Parts: sequence; C-alpha cells; structure tokens
Amino acid sequence: MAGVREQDQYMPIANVIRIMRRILPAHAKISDDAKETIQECVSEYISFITAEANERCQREQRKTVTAEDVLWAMEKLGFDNYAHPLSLYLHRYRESEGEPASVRRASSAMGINNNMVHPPYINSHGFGMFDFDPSSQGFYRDDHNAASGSGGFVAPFDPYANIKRDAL
Amino acid sequence: MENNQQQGAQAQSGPYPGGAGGSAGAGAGAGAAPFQHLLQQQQQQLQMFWSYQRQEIEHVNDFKNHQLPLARIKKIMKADEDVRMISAEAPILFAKACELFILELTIRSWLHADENKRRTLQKNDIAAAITRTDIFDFLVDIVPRDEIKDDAALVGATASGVPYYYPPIGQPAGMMIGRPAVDPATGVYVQPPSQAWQSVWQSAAEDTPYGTGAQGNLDGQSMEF
Repeated sequence: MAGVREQDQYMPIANVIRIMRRILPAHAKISDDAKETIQECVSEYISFITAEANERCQREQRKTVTAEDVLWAMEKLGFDNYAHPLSLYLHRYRESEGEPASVRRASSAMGINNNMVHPPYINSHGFGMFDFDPSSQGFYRDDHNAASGSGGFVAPFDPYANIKRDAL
Repeated sequence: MENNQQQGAQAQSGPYPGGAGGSAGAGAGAGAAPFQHLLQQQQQQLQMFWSYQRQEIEHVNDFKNHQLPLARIKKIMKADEDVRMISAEAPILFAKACELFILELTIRSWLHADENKRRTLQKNDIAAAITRTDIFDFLVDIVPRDEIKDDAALVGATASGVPYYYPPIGQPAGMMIGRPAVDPATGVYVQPPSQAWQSVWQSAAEDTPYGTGAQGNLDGQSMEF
C-alpha cells in the first residue's frame, strides 16, 4: 500500500472521482488505472503551473506566489480557457471576503492559510498585500510580452481587467 | 465567448489533418462524412463545456467549501523547493483550476472511449486525450509510451482517411478484438467477446451494479486468459 507520504502527492481519489462523474454520462464506468492516472495528472498540473508562477515571482524578486502569478502562468502556458473564468472566480471570491468576520473565522477553521491578512476593499485592487513590491510594476509589461508571445489568434487577455475597472 | 470558441476550435482541430479521402479500404468514402460530423460534435461539446463553466462561476456563492483540500494543494505546490511563500488565495484559485482541469481531461477522455463504443473510461483514453491536446503536452510522461504509440497509430490511420472509430487490430489488452458493438442509442447493444473479460475484471475491481452478473456474448463464447 502507498505510504502516507506518497498519498500526500495526490489529490484524494474520492474527490477526483466525484468531479469526474459530474461530466460523465450516468452509464459510464471508470477503470482503476484511469482514476489513478487522473490523480497523477492533477498533481503534475499543479506543479507545472506553480513552477512557471514561481519563476515570474523570483524574476521580480518577490517571495510570495500570488493568485495573480498563477493566472499569469496559466495564460502563458496556453490555459487561456482557464485564466478567463478563474479571473472572474478570484474577483468574486474577493468580493465575498467583504463578508462578516465570522465567515473568515470559518475559513480559518477549514484550514485555509491565514498567514496574510486581506483587509476588505484594499485586497479587491490586487495590491496592498504586505510584501507587494512597487518595483513590480512590470506586471503590465510582462502581460504585453506574454500577449505578443502567444500565437496571436486570440485577443490579448489582461488578467487585471476586472481589477482595473474596480479601482476606478 | 468568441475567444473561447476559437480556442476550442484550435485545440480540437489541430491534431486532425484535413482532406480525408477514400483512398483506403471499402466503405472509407462512406465513413468520411460521419467522421467529420463526429469531429464537429466533439468541438461543440467542448465549447458547451467551457460556456457552462463560465456561467457556473458567474453564479458561484460558496467560496468556503472546495471540491479539493487546500492543504493538499499547498503541499504539492511546496514540493518544489524553489517555492518559498504562497499567498492564501493561490490554493483557493488552484482548487477551482484543478476542478476545471479534471473536468476537461475527463470529457476529452470520454470522447475517445465513446468513439470506440466503450462505456468504461480507461487509461488509454486519457493517453489519447493528452496526445490530442496541445496544452496537455506536459502530461506525456505520465502515460506509458506504448499507449501513446497506439494513439499515434490511430492518428496516422485517420490521416490516411480511415475512419477513426475503426481502429487497427492489436489494441492494448485486445480490447477491440471482435465485432463492434451496436450504438447504444438504438437500444440494441451487442457485447463484443472482449467485453466478457472486461466485465469479469470490473466485477473484481469495482463494486458497481454493472459489475454484478455475467454478460452474455452473442456467440456464447467466453474469453480465456
């Protein structure tokens, strides 16, 4: 049997199967090797995106990988279909952060990492995180580079478009 | 919305060379039209998938209950020694991203199983989905080379104009040996001999209603391994 350490490398298989079944027809069955393969693919996906996000983070001499870094990495690696809805998801999540403190305590109870405090509204701009480096205004230059680097068949996507509008 | 459709079209149509002709085998000419139709259907399904996902995210209210555990996501992110600190929002974003990833990989894999008239999603279906989708190149090492090779053969067969859903003999584990199953939509489902092995394996491996009871073959023969 797999050791505890090895299990920690993958998402729990029950969660993975539940998500798979949402998209499969009722009569579909999933072989065990398919379940395990999807588990491995998910971990590989997280590592793949994280490595790219972290590379950008270090290039800009920041220590903390942010959600924006993750979105940027997805777009750079061709996951435009993901970056669009996830940007919206992040925006709506930040709106929900304006909810009462009791909800945030519930978040804490569920094991969400609260190392960084996100005051309401400040966070909605995507700035104001305590280790945010002003010299990283290169966010936007990087976006332009990324856009020009892509195949050009898709209009450039600005992951901060929602944030910019809110800032006004 | 248009961008998503373009991207969907790009991702889906890339691996398929155009101009399938009737150069090979009897009935290949007749097979060309249904094959094109199959590709269009698959593209439509993927476009609907992304459209639906966007709508779902627009209406999401619960940001506290995630389908995937955040602590596990963070642990996987931290497995990279270069990663130092992770903001609280990154695992939350990844929880949703991984959901989308599992859903897309699953539906693309299922499309392959469906093409081969199977009801069980297998590893080689996932291998096919990975091979067909450019953004999944980073996953190539996860599936065995022989399964990719088989799919490459299938793609090659497609290029020569052979309909995709008549794969060559010699598939892994002999899964396609025997006569093809009739389309379940018509209500008539004939089990190929290879299904007997599969149902036996399923009975042993999974506790599902489908796994109970033997499924008879048309010719009454049972597979011996």
